[in-house]
Amino acid sequence: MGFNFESNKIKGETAIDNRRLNNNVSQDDTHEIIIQNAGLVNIYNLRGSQRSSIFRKVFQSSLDIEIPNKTCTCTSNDQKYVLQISPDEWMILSNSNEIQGQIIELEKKLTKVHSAINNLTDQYQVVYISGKKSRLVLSKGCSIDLDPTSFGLKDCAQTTLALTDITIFCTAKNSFTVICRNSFANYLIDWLEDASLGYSYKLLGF
Amino acid sequence: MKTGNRRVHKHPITSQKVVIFTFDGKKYSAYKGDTLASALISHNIKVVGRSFKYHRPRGLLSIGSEEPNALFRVGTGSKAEPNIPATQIEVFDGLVVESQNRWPSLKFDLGSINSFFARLIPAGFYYKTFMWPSSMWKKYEWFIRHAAGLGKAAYDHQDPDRYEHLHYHCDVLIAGGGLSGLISAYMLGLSGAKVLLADEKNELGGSLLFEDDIKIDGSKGIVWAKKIEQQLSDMNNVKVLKRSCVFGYHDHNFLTIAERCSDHLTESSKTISRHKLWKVRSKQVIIAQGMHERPLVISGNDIPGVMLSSAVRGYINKYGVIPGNSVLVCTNNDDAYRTAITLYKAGVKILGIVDSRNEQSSDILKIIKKYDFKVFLGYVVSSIYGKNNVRSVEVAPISKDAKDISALPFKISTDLVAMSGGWTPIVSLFSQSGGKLEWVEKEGFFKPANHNQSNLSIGGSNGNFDFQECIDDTIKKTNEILVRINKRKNTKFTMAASYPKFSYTPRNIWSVPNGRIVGKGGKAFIDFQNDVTVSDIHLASREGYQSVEHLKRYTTTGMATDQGKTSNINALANLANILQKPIEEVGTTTFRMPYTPTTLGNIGGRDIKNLFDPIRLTRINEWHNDNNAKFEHVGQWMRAWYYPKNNETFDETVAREVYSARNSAGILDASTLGKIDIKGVDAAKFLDLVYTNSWSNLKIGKCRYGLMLKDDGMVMDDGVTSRLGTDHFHMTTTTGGAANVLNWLEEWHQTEWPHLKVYFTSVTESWSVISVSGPKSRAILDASNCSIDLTNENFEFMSFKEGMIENIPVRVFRISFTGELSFEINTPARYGLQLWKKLIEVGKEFDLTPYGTEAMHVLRAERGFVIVGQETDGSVSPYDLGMGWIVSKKKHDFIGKRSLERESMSASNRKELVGLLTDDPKKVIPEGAHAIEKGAENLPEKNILGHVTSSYYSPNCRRSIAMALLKDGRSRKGSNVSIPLLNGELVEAKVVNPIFFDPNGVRKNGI
Repeated sequence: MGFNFESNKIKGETAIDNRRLNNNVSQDDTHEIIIQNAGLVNIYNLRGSQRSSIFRKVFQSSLDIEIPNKTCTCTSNDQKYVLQISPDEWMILSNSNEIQGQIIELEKKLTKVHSAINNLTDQYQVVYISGKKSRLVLSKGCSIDLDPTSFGLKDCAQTTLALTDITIFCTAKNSFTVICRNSFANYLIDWLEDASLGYSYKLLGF
Repeated sequence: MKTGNRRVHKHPITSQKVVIFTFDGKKYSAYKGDTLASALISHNIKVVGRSFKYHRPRGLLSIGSEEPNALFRVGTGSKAEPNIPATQIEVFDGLVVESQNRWPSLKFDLGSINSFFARLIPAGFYYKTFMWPSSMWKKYEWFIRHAAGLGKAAYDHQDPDRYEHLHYHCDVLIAGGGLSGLISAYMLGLSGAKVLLADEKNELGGSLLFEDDIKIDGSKGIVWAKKIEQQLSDMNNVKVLKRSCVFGYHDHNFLTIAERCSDHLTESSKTISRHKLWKVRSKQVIIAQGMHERPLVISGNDIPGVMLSSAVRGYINKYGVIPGNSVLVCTNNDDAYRTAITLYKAGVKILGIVDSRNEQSSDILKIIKKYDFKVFLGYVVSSIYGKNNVRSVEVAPISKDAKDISALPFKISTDLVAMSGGWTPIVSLFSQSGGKLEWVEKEGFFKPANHNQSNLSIGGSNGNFDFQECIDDTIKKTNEILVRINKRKNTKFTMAASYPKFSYTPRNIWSVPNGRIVGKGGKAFIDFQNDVTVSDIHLASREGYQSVEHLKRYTTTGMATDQGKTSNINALANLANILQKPIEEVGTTTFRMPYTPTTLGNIGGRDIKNLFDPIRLTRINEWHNDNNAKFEHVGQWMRAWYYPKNNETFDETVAREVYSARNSAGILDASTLGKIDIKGVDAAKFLDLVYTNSWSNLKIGKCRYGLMLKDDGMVMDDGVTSRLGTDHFHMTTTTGGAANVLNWLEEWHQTEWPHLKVYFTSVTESWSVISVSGPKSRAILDASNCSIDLTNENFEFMSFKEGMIENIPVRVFRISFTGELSFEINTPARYGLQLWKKLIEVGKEFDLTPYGTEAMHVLRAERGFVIVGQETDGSVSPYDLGMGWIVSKKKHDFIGKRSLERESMSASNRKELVGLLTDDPKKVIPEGAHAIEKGAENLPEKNILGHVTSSYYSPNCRRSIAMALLKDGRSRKGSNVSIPLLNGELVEAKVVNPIFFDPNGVRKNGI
């Protein structure tokens, strides 16, 4: 990967228009919809062969988490989520700083295995959506079945929300993480806010 | 205010709240629960609309969404909506409706003059009448446009209402909540399946709502329906949608439902949708839409006061309103006898039952014994008379072959004719799903035969008349569906109906004779909404329109808002009669969505205004916004176009920006360029295949410009690609081409060269790209604490280096799209804005000028660099662009190589890219202008050489410059061409090399 995306002396910014920033963040779960700016989340894209046992083994030993074994599912631990978004593609999300070292180690070990790792932290905006109406609001623009029986914990999907490509996964009963390209972030937030009209909703960190 | 009174004594609706509505400016009363149709009947209003072509007065025909005549404009101002059937309008306090297609009033309509000219305006008259002379078309058009259409749309184009979409997935979608739909929903609900039941009415029960002679499991039909509705609402796995019409059946069991959420409410809200579009994906679909009664095709059958028999019965039973005083019933089956019984019970005078059959069923004989009806067996109503309401009818015996009447008719005076011409299963959704129909001769209808998607039709939709048969068929079919969704069959489920037995088998006389030849006497209507008569069908057939699809287009039968719900079978059968063919050979026209009309607002949903299409913004957008940038759309991107200062015009701004970039330095936000990370041991090999030039020999740390062709050899995209490692490349594409190029690479990799080990990852938005260009660019970077040695010796043109600018990590490419010394700085997007601001700050003392996309275009044109999509249009090869140097002669293969070897590619007369210099250096030719041979201005269209692709005023050349694609352009160098403009002006220009500034390209190393 080579390029170091981090600067330890200067903080980066997310794609959300600064004028939307509202710092009065309070944890308030009485709202039917809570839309939250996740800030900068480390995101890595990994390509490789699911069938390769070395690939799977190296993955697990470097990242200390099992690789999902089916497309559209994910594995998780306290530090990270691993989403299998296509038969040969994974997305790794983590808020922890340890991930950078782990990824470097993974890449070293995969030098001789056909694979590709990309740091896509800057490519995306991550938004958390929760509340008891979250499934309903998302259903207004997302064509996959978001019923808890078919999209629950451990499920993930690459799909569209309104007119934007997203990757979405379920983190708790009515909680979702939505990942979109950062150039679409302001559109997506506008859309989510519009779709939430009529319910009690709150935007956090915007 | 007018109070209605034509009510059945002590009908339950009279205990409901009184509501007031306005119809054509006058206030009327009704009861909550009334439809506009029932309310109008209660006020004895007979004429409710004017027909489309002849402007004939029309009354209510039906009681459901099939209504062709009674169309109204509902609401006022920007909320008004035209063409809503009165049968579907729920009356509420404050409802405002207006009649349509009439002027000045419904009762006296000047347009009805058309009736006198009916002979001059038969089917297809548009095609015949307005063909000649063609110069008159503009005049005709004005009249046709004014005469065409039904109601008027809202005056104000801003629809104030909210419309939303919702995606829904279920095991079974049931279209229709009548007897069959309810039983099916209940059975499926018990199984635990996820069920969605949608019905277009505001109440569930379907035809049960309008009947009083049916009991299901011991309860009156309407009571039973309420009970089942309650039980369904207690089931968490069942969702019931009322006022919701399943209007579209698309591929893979995807269906669309239009829900009317607030049309029946006095108050509307900004947060609640007026309509909602449900997009449903269902594993199985049950079609339970029921049946429609057919009108009889009799001359004068469109006069107000001629109604469908079941509708007359329904208005009395459901709403307690009586549409006439003395009624004549005419029928070809038993069902109309039920209407006679209902009328009898309501105390209405029945003049007789005219039954075209020669004998009644034994069942009906038993039932009507006690009523002492006067029945004319073997008779028909041959003509109906009246203007604004029925006055009288002629009744005559019908011949055995039903081709003529067998004795002179006699007259009966009446004010209401209740007619039944048999029943037609509603097969619209089934047909939309791709199912095939079969003709049932005995009953005279089409019914579902071969299913194309995962669905079943039940009840009336499947051609069942008898209530118990409907129930049994429903239970059987629902069990089949249960098996399909892996649930256990419910073999014990039963339900019993008690009702008087009838025979619905009709004697179909598709056009009732009246003793005259076709076309003489009153008009016998087939399609009420489009004014299509039996004689129109004859005329169309005589003129050769004998395919049913041609007939539909020529006569317009089956078109418009009702989509021929009451007319289709009558039209087909009449065509079959004329052609002397069986009906199944004539076939049906194509059923298309929507089953009933829905609003455009509902289809648009929330994709309006700022949500119409996503606007993509770069991470530096905030600065552009704050610094007075004007923007332009580039695909979905919003890019800074130019940055006017004070009162500068567009031209002044661009000239300033272009000048600064060459004389001091300019800074451009180039973040939108597509970027693709390419990795794998075969990466270089793959690039050799997709680009025209060679990549395997590119050294690590170096960049190269590449041209990508489609397989037809035409230029598709271009960009600079850099080698990050042995098996690792960073590709850039045009802004608009980013997604296409990634798809292109994946497609070729996955379908043609899957053996090549390479991965592609889009990294477009990982990087902010800032291009600093101009003689002072190096100094600006140095002054910004750039850690990279930027000297020409240590940082060659077409190479890249990584480092820091102060604390910000950067990857700097020494490439140039302006021809100046130039650095394209890539930084992780999170630092984009900070780096931009830093460079702007440092750049102040170096006269660093931000420039937009317009200046970028001028700068590259001065140097003769092409833009894919501007100089190319999918028909331009690299040779046409004069870029043969980039096409490898050594490579064994690359996409487009074979096409480039075609003879036509080297043929003379191909359009080639050249430069144009106008004789008048100040004259800027409009882009897109055509160039012609000099001196050919009298015959310009015969002498077109090509067109101008780019054209600007160049401040650095101090004159206008242009690029153009001209036939044999390169051999024309030195000669002159003419460019005729739209205003008649003729511009003269000299053909030159398309490089206008720094022809030797020395400035890229700085000056």
